[in-house]
Amino acid sequence: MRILFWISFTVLAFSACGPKKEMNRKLPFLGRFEVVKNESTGAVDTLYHKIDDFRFVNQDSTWITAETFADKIYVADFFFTTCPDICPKMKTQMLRVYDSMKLTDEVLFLSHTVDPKHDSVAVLKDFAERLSVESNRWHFVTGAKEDIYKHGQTSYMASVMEDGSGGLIHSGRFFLIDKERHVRGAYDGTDPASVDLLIKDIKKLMKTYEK
Amino acid sequence: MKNSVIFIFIAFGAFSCFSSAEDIKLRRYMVAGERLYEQHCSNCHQLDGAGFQKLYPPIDGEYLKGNLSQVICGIKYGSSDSLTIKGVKYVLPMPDAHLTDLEVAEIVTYLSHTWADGQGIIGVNEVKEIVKECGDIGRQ
Ligand code: HEC
Repeated sequence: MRILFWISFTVLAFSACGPKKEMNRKLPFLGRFEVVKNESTGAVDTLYHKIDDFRFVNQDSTWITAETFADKIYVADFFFTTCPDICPKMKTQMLRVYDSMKLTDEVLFLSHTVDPKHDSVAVLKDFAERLSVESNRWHFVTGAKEDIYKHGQTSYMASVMEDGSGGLIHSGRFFLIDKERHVRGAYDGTDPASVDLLIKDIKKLMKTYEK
Repeated sequence: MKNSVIFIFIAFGAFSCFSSAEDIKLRRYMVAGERLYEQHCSNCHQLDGAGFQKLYPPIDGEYLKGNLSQVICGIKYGSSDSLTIKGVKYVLPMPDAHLTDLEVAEIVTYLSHTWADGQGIIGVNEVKEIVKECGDIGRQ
């Protein structure tokens, strides 16, 4: 296998363009991808960006890894429990997505805290209970701060960082991840229209796995 | 929401020549209060004041009447206290929205007329007196 070329191409900017002409739109693969040629067969293949391995702990003190999401579609985001402005909006919207997926066990949810210092397992547990969600479907995870930030940046291409004055900047996006760990969409978690599109896209993605 | 704003405007126009200065002022407070509420508070408490799950409490008329000073201080400076509404304890902090005393007065007047049996105006001077006493309690 030989690498033909690398393309660094952030499709993020185009990913949440709104619900126009969505019916026939194929879900994109976001992030860098690599085109490789199989020397023996001559076939050309595209390797898409994938979510890296990770290991965080959830609200039940259970280790959550890529394995947890084996053969599952999932929606991921970054937040913190005491965030005053965009998180309340994001959580109302995420709960809407969660509620719309009640009838399937094929779709899971993963919220990473970007404030692990405050958001301990106990705090996350309380948060999940207050939100009234089941912990086997929606994981709220914490871990070492560097790990969470690095994972956000490399796997999700999300802007998660400290703003230098003690505040936290985090992406307000929801990411749609397929069963092969590819990022298939990024949506504005504060915008109901963008979140409607996410719900449609999840259903579309589920269809591609139907046998 | 929009309709009620329009209604208030129409009401304002139609009755302003008959009503007292106090009524006109009340309507002005209500229009401003509603707009400020949408902008600064509805993310958490929702537009209809119902709150969100057990994370953010519903706006509660009884609580408001019984704890007016605390509520005013909470809106003015944010609050990291916990409080219990209808048997549920709410623990998350409320942010400081950096509102002026007049804006706080407008919001609180709007709250009291919308979710409690509000009488008249909770005016800017009353708010000024109360926030002087807020001290460090609840201040983030
Ligand atoms: C980030 C979410 C958030 C925002 C934004 C917010 N609040 Fe709150 N509010 C809370 C929480 C949590 C509590 C309960 C705990 C506390 O007081 O710290 C609360 C309590 C209250 C209470 C007293 C209890 C009740 O439910 O009646 C009132 C009144 C209130 N808020 C009004 C407002 C007003 C007015 C604004 C806008 C200026 C506002 N809040 C903005 C989260 C929020």
